[in-house]
Amino acid sequence: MRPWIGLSLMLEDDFRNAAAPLFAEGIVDVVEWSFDTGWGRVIPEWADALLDHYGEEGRLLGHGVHYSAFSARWEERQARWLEQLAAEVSRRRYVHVSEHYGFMTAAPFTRGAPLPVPRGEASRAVGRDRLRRMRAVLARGKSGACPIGLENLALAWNGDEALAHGMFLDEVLEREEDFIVLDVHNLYCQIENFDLDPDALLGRYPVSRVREIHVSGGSFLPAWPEAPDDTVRCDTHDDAVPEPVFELLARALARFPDVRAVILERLGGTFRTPADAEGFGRDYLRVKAVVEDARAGGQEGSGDG
Amino acid sequence: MADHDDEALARFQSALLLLLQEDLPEAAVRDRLDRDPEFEPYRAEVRAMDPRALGIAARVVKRWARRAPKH
Repeated sequence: MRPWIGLSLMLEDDFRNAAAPLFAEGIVDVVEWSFDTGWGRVIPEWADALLDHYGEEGRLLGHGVHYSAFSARWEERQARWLEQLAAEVSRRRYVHVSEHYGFMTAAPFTRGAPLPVPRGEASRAVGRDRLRRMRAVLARGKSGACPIGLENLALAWNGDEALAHGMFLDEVLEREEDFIVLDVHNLYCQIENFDLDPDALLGRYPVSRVREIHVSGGSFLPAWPEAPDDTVRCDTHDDAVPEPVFELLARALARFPDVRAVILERLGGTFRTPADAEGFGRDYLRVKAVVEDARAGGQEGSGDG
Repeated sequence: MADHDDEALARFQSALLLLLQEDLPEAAVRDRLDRDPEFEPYRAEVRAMDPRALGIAARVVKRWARRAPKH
């Protein structure tokens, strides 16, 4: 079955201009919306209309950014996040909803970026508890008890830990319908930074759990300011998709038969020139070609998580 | 629904974010990781942290971490 191919929606005008030809051509099967990046912001009319359209068509995926499902101490901030999630899923129907592996907040911080957690029973129990709380909210919304996913991180504390992320996510996801969002650029970061074998890394992810794939670009940045020449690959989502990531996408599609959606991501505000926008269109067509080649003859996916 | 909090893990997470946000050089970060008692329950994991991974973690924490207003 051919997975849906789609875009992660951004609200900025440069993203809108870059994505418009793809929507106009009718080749965006599905939209992923990081709904919590829109909370408290004015959603432009064009974006609201797109979200309504894809929601009504049953082709809208939800992707949280700020919940922090592995923060060990339950935070009032997370309770408010769930209240806003309840409002979100009472308005729109999502095929499934995902969040990220890792913790981004702990006292005294209320915002951050996800870091990997120690992979012991404490972290497993916290992650399961936070997903149960999400599930209880989702069950009361238009989406019902839809599947919940967790996305792999680019950052790992070392190579062995990178190789263990997939199995740890499998242990946290309790229900058969829950799934892993496999970001192949995040895998590329780990392959580059820890000199890992791509197939060995892919092989550590449970085959039946991987049901969505993210594709993006990134950049090489100095790990430490005092050593500017010692760079590390980072998931900055601010550039074109590099060739090794397309190759990883093809390998992942060959390995994971239950992938229902492949999403191209690029942050709004990062299209610096008209050539960037054209490159984004080419990246999308390349993703489409890789998917179609991998699933030659297959019918379009149901995308039901 | 039963709350599930883990105090040792919570203290570890807070200590790690506070440390990484300090804009310290690599050697100072490693020294604090080795000596701060909040990291003791996870000593093996901390010792196994790759230096470059620590650097990137420090970079993203400094870029994105925000404290609650009362702090």
